[in-house]
Formats: sequence, structure tokens, C-alpha cells
Amino acid sequence: MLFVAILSQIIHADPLSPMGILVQKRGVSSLSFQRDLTPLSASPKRIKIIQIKNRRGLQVQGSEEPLRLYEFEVGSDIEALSEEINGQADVVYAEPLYPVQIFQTPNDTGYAYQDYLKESSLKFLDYIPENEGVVVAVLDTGVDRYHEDLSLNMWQNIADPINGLDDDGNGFVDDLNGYNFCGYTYETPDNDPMDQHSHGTHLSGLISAEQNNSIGIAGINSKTKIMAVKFLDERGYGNQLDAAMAIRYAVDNGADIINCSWGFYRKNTVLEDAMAYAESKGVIVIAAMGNTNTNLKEYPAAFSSVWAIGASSDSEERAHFSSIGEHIDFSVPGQDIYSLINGNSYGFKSGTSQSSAIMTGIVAKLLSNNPEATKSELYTLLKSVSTQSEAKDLILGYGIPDIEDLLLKLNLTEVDEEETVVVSFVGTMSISRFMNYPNPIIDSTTFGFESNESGAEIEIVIYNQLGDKVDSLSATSSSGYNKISWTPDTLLNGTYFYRTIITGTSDTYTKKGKLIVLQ
Amino acid sequence: MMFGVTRSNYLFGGIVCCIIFLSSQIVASSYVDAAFAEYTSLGQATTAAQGNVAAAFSNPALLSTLKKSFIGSQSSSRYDSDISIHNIYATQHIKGLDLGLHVPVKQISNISETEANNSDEGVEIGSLSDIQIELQLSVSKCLTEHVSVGMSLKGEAHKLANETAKGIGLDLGLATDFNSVNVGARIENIVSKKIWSTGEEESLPTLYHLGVSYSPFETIMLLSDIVLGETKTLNLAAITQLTKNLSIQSGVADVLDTKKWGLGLDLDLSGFHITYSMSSAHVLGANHTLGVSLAY
Repeated sequence: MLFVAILSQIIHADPLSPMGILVQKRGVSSLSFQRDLTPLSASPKRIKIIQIKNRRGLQVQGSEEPLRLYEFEVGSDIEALSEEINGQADVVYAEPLYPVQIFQTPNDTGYAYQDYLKESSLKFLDYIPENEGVVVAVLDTGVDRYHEDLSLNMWQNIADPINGLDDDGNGFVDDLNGYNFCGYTYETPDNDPMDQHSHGTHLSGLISAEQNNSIGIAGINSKTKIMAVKFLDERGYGNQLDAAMAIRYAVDNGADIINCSWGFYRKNTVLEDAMAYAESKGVIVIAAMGNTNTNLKEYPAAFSSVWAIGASSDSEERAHFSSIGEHIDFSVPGQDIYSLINGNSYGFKSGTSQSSAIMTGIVAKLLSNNPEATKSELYTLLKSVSTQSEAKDLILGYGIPDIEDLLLKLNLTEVDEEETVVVSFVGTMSISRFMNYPNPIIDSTTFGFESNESGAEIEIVIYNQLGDKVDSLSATSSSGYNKISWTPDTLLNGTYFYRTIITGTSDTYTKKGKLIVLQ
Repeated sequence: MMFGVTRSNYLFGGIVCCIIFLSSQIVASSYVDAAFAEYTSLGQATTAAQGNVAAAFSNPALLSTLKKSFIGSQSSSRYDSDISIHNIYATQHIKGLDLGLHVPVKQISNISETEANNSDEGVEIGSLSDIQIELQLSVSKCLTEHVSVGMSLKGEAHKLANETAKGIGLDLGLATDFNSVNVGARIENIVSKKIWSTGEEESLPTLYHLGVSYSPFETIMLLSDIVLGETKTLNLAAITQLTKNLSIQSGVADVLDTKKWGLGLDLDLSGFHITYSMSSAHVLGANHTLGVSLAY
């Protein structure tokens, strides 16, 4: 057990500490490849040569030496060592390589259910036709490409079928379904960008889940193709170098928009260069502001070329977790957003990650109607219809795009009711955040949960540790957050078990849980 | 039936009085679910299971029916690993008394700690655990060839979330037989008290167990238990001796209501017993217990 505990501490020592130092030196002579730095106060345990390649697999740094990644022992003062290296001759820059992570408040932070496609101005998105031709790269934890509500909308690089060869010569073998840059820094990338976390799948669903297929949800522009570009692991962690490689891959392989729902508060030249590369190719990069509820700048959102998106609440104010700052461009809903979960499942997530994806979906829809529109034109259009178009602030940026106003700008009229695209949740009862609170129970507790279905029958049975039933509750659900109170009058202190069965019109939800009576 | 008074009877009676006196002074009580494979495989119908070491820690009077002394350990996973229980136990015959020592440890982890947020909706803020350790000392005495009595004194330490408790409890047992019918009785928690760090005092309810077992054939024993307390429970079980070294057990606890079934086997390898049981608590999941003991 002690070994496991220590190993766990090492693995999770500090997920936010730098992973090494990226060093760019001047290529002053052919001998420079052989020449290393003068001795440092701490010796690197490994030095890696990093090749940042273009679409033909060539080094993109021109005459410069390749990047080098200096790795040090855990606990080394990477910041101080960077300063040491920066002070040496022929060093262009030496910067810590920071990790990045997804922006996601836990699902259990508790917000009222918000049907963002029905109750905000986003409902008017239905009146904007959707067209094919737009590719959105979701740079994230990957995408569940087999998800029932998304599989038909996955981008494929048909020029490179899976046959062990780099058929299209883009430097990546068998990247038919995208690519997994997770571990590129350590030479362990692969061609399988499957999502092991659900974050990337959730975002992809918001952008492009199938519409009117009688299952699941409706993406904002369901004719968008999702390019799965993975660089975050199953915990939602990655690093800026892998991110930079993923961005270059997306740009080189035809992405029109790149969604970045992740970041870190320290910037890095490699990442900035990649963003500049995307900018130079006319690719729109949309990124999440972050969920720190502070003015801490997160990158890539804080890069000037990137659209930084904050989260708004259902009252069209800033969501309490959403970061602020002068770099924020727009805000869109980001609380309790319902979308896809790995394995043909669905669920709620909150965060500026979701806001970024929703904005990505909006831009994809606009772009699908006018493929010639430039990034600047789209930005100006959205700014002109946003709630604070003339008074940008640090809180909401230009505010929340008013899609109804946008319809007028685009000279689109509302389509007939019968032709309205149905944003449906048909066939799926969704129950989330089921728990009793408070726990431990001093006097009484409440069983609470989110439901999208009213009239479902709820039965909660409480058992003791011998498996004997000690109490039961029954109720009927309503749409939204449900509460069922319970007072354990005669029970002794201890742990008890409960089992819930919620029977809806189409589905049944079950959950087993533990609660503590401590009076 | 004669109840002759001997020196050892006086000694046993003295111990009984001493334990009862101590239990009333220590003001605490405890209870840890039975940790034995047989407890579930026999559907909790163990009150009259003579000759069974696990049953002897439910009904202490059965200690005197054991033909050998035992030392062993078992591990149990309940409800698909929601609860884990580990125990060690030993029995010994000393100067006319049959003694038993049992130390079960129970742990329940990953219990969500929750509270209401500003919108009065639930949020998870941490994880809690429930750990109990118990020390059970049992003693039994044969009063006659066909009658034995026993008692178990149980001391407990309990950590539940951020609170702790100490407790003590006392069980009394009786075992007798008439021809091929065995009868057992047990009063569980005749004395029971538990004091929490919050100042709260608790007493576990007193339960009355009455068990009967009968062997219609040499290789089969049928068992039944009635438990009387706040509710009434009927438990039924059977032990079948398949071979000299292998027996199987089956039982149903709470036949009239929840019907929790159990199956188990006991393999005797020259005194080394390997015991396994599985049972179901229906919606809560499966239980598995594996144990090894040495009879000497």
C-alpha cells in the first residue's frame, strides 16, 4: 500500500509544474548541433531533439537549430534553470514547457438545467440553414468516433487509409481518423484519437451531433465534419508542445476552425508560433477563457489571434466560474450543457470549454453559408449583433451574440414552423447529479437530481449493511432539478445503502449509493 | 436432566458475572456484521449449527460443540466491493472451558461527502469512509453432555466520517440436542451501548435467535432460524457432505421477505479448511468470502 501511495504521489506530484525546458539556439555553425550548453546548476537527465515538421515532414524552423527539450529530475527549479540557459550565448530562448489541461468545472458543481438551444437567443440558430463543407478540428482528449449521434459527421483523411503507410506523405502514418499527439514530445504518438475522457466528445457533439435522427441531441451545425486531433490524455492533461503539433496538423490537413477548450496560464513560443501559423493560413482558432473566476490569462485564449470565449449564465450574465480579462471576445452559455458522453451516452457538463464549442458551432454554421467569409468578416458580424457591441468589457467581452439580430443582418426570415429543424431529445431520458445531500445526515437529507423528463416514477429504497430494507420513498419527477426529502428517524448511526429506480417513458435509470447517518 | 455443580461451574459462573459486571461499567457497545463465509452461505441460519466454527462466533454456546480447536482468517467483499471485511479467529479448549477470539475489521470507502450549494442543490465536496474494528471474546461451558451455554463480549472502535465511537456489547447463547435434533438459542446484544464523540449514546436492539437443526441422513443437515426483534425473520439452510473432505452449504436468509440466497463449500485438506461462499443481496450486488483455517 505504501508503495502504491508513493507511486501515486510521484505520478500526480504536481500536474501544473513545468515538464522541462524548450531551448532554441542559433544555428551559427554546423558544429552547433554538437555543442551543448555550458554546465548548469542542475544536470538535465535527458535532452531530446524536437522536430516541428510542416505538411511535407520538413523542419519548419528554417536555418535554425531544432528545438531541444531539456528534462530534469522531479523537483528541479525549472524556472530558475530557464533563466540560467537564457543567459548563455547563442540561446534564442529557453522557456519552461508547461502542461495544459481542459477547462471544465466538475459536473457536480450544481447549476440549474439550462436548455440553451431553446431558452436563449441561440434558438434562432435553427433558422440559419446549415451546409456541408466546413471542417472543425477539435483539439482535445480525442473524440468517440463511434458515438451513435456523431459517427456520420467525423472527418476522415481518405488519402491515408490504414495500411501501415504514410500514403499522403503528410508525415503521419495511417491518420485516417485524425491523429493522437498525446505523447508526441516523448515519441509515443499514434493514429488513434479515440476519446478516453469524454471532454472532446462532449464538445464535438455540441458542434456537430446529428439532427433529426430521433436519438440524442442536435449539434449546432450537424453538417460540419469533426476532425479528431487528440493531445490530451485520459485525465485531460497534455503539454504545449503536443498542442502546437496538433494545431499544425489541423491547419495542414484542412481544418477551417480549431476549437481549443483547454489552456495554461503561462505562454510558450512554440504554442504561439503554432497559433501564428494557423492565423497565416486563415484558420479561425476559438479558445476557452478558463474557469478560474479571476483575471488570470490562459493561453491560447490570451493570444491576440485567438477568439477568447467566456461562459454566460442563463440570465445572460457571466457564469460565476468564467475567467475575465481584456482579451475576452464573446460570451455564450456554458452552464449545464447537455451533449455527448463516450459510449453512446449523454450528460451535462459546465465550463468555458462548452462555451467555446458552442461558439465554434455558430461560426461553423455561418461559414457553411458563406465559405468565402474571412475570419475578420465573421468576427465583425458577430460583434455587431452582440449585446455589448459598442461597450466591450472585461467581463463578457462584446457580450452574447444575439442570433435573432443576426437573422436580420443576414436577411433571413424565420422558416415555417413545420420546416423548423426539431431540436429534440427524443428517446433519451437524462438523469444526472443524483445524490443525497447533505451527507453525512445529521437530521434529514434531500435526494436531488436533474431530469429532462417529467412524470417519471421515482423509487428510492434504503438498505442496512445486511441488505435489509429499512425505508423507501416514492415520487414523480419534474423537468429540472428534483428534490425528495428524507428523515432517518429511527436508524442508528452508520453507513446505509440506497438504490434508486427512475422509470421514464422510454428509459430506466438506476443508481446505487451510500449514505451516512450520523446524528 | 441433571445440572451438577462442580468447581469449574463456579469458575465459569464467576467469569460470566465478571463480564456482565464489566460490560455494565465500560458503557459502550459494538457490532460488526458477521464476517464468516458460513454466515452467508447458510443464510444466517447458524444458531443451531453444531460443530461449525463460524456458527460458534454467532452462538457462543456452540464453541463447546467443536471437536477440534481452530485458527483461521477470512476475507469478504460485499455488495460488489462496497464493503470489505477481514477477520482472524481462534478457538481453544482450556480446563473445561471453550474459548474463542475473533477480530473482524470492516471498511466502507468512497462515500460521497455532499452539501447544498447556494441554489440549494447538491454538490459533492469530498469522500468519506466508515471503518470498524471489533474484538470478540467468547467463552462456552458444557453444563451436561447435552447442554452448553456461552457468552460473547464484544468491544468495538468505530470511525464514521469525522466522528469516532467506542462500544461494548454482550451476547448469550445456549445449545442443546435431543436425539438427532439440535436446538440453539442466542440473545444478541443483551447489553449494548455505544458512545460517539458527538456525545450521542446508542444501544443496539436486542435480538432473540432460536435455531433448530436436524440430520435426516448422516450426510445432510437441515437448519432453520427464527430471529425475533423489531421484525421477525426466518432463515433456512442445508449442509450436504458430498465426500469425506467436501461439503456444500446453501441457505436463504429472510425467506419471508428479501430472500437473500447463499452458497458455499468447505474443503478439508488434512485439517486445513478452505472455505468459500457467495451470496446475493439482490439489488445491492454480490458477496464473496474466502477463508482458510487450521483445525488441530
